[in-house]
Amino acid sequence: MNAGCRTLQQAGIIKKISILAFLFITIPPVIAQGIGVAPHKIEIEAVNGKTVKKQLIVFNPSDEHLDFEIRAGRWFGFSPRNFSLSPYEKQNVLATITPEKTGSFEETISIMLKQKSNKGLAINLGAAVRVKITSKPKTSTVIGAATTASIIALGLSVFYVFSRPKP
Amino acid sequence: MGVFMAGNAFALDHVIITEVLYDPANTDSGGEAVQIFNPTASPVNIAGWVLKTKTSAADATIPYETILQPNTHYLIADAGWSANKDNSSWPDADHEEAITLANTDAGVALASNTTVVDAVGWGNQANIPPGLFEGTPAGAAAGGKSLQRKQADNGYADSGNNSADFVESTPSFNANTSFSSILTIEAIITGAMPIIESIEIFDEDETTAGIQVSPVPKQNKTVSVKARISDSNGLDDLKEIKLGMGIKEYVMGRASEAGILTAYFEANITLPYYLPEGNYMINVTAADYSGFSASRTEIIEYLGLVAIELDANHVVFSADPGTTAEIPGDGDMGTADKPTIKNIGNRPVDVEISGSNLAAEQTLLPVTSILYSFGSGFINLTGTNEVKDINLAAGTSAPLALKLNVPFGTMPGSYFGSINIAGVAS
Repeated sequence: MNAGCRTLQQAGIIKKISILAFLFITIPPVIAQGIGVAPHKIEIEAVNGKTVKKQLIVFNPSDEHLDFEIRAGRWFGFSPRNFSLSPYEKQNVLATITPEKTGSFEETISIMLKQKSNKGLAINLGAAVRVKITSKPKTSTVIGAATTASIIALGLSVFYVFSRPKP
Repeated sequence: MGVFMAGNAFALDHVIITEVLYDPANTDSGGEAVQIFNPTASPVNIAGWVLKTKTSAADATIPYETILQPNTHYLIADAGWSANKDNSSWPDADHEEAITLANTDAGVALASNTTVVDAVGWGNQANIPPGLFEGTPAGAAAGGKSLQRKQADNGYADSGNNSADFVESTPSFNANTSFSSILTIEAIITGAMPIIESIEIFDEDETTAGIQVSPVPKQNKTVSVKARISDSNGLDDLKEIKLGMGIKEYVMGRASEAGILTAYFEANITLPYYLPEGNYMINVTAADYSGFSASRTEIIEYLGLVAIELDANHVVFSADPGTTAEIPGDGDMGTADKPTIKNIGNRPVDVEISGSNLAAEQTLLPVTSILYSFGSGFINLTGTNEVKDINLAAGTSAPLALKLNVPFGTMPGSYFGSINIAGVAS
């Protein structure tokens, strides 16, 4: 009884969804969209706080004009970050990477197509670049000066020992 | 030993005596000398050879391990030569040994074992032992004068007749000035090697060392290779310029001139998009008509390209509550209602995939209602990027199938959402 009531209650809903769905049932035209990026990976060694530059090449292999957006973590900067490409055009993108911590990190740069479709379930296509970052600590001025002074002192000591007249 | 360069000096086939000083101006003891010469093209081992004289069958013996090089003199002198020779400017002897050369009616022979190689006699033939002269002995030389072998067109004269071949002269050991036909060396360089000065290939990534070339998704990459080549014999001497990469070879054509002897040659290399990333060697070879060739290599890094293509930018489900709608994928890039993903780069790819809730005006369907499949089982989509290992090889396709579970009680309406699919290198 309960099941039958539920079915009856839902019957109207089903009818409505079916009607609406019918309105959406279309066979969309083939609009192949594509994206490409090179290189597929970046490995950098950087000093913490120092900026390293790398170049990406982004391709529009499609027959239509496409808009692109680059996403990555806050260590990353891109020029340009948003751009449009005509069919089969490419864009050189300068990526700047400024590690804010020391250590080894794996990040991802995602280049995504900005979706134009507002129908149903839109499929946003993209390509990702793996980035491996090895960030080394900065050598402070004090430590650097102390190291330099130590090397000079050691050199002078060696010179003194070997240049001293033998008894 | 002295090296003597004589025109056509190789006309004779044996070692010869070229000068004999048997009656020096000063003392005979230490003042006599015999000079021999190798006119052949080959070194001659004269170790153990002897000078036969009227006095002795082995008046002097040439030391062991003595090799007489072609066109080289060898001076054998009486012991004490270095101190007693008539002229202190004369060269020292290569070998000093006590020898006795009679001043009248005598001769000297150069012999290898018992074989006389050459002989020079002077004076009255009747008084000279056989074997110490050839033909008719030469005339006697005055004191302080030597008998010198005459020069001929082909070097030294050697007719087999001492009287014809030798002449009295002022001694000039090793001076070689008696020959007018000093060998003139003329070097005619007919073929200068081509020089490949540089190979120029457009570097697509100046932030990285080396030359980077990026593939182009779904297309062949045309790489222009330009070589700057010069040839001192002129550009017309350049026969063929080739560009090689792997087993492929291209002929480079002259693109422009950079002077009389230098030009740019150019050829295009075609690289398919699916060619694996890596370093490739490009080799330019220049050959000229003089028979010379030169080559130069350059390494290019063919970058790894992640590139994917999808034949649908959205899908539309039609579903009833309590049912599941499925949009099957296929491997055909020409069917937008059956999504297909294709790898159009040169790297195998996986995908990072995530999605959003499907939202209607008043309600929503959670992202987990959406399921996806790249040919194997269906997986619920989440809002977090997840890597799906599909290992899609370069140039191949895979179906992208989607399902939507519509629970009972779902409000009717138009629901919108999105799915993010990013290719990433496997």
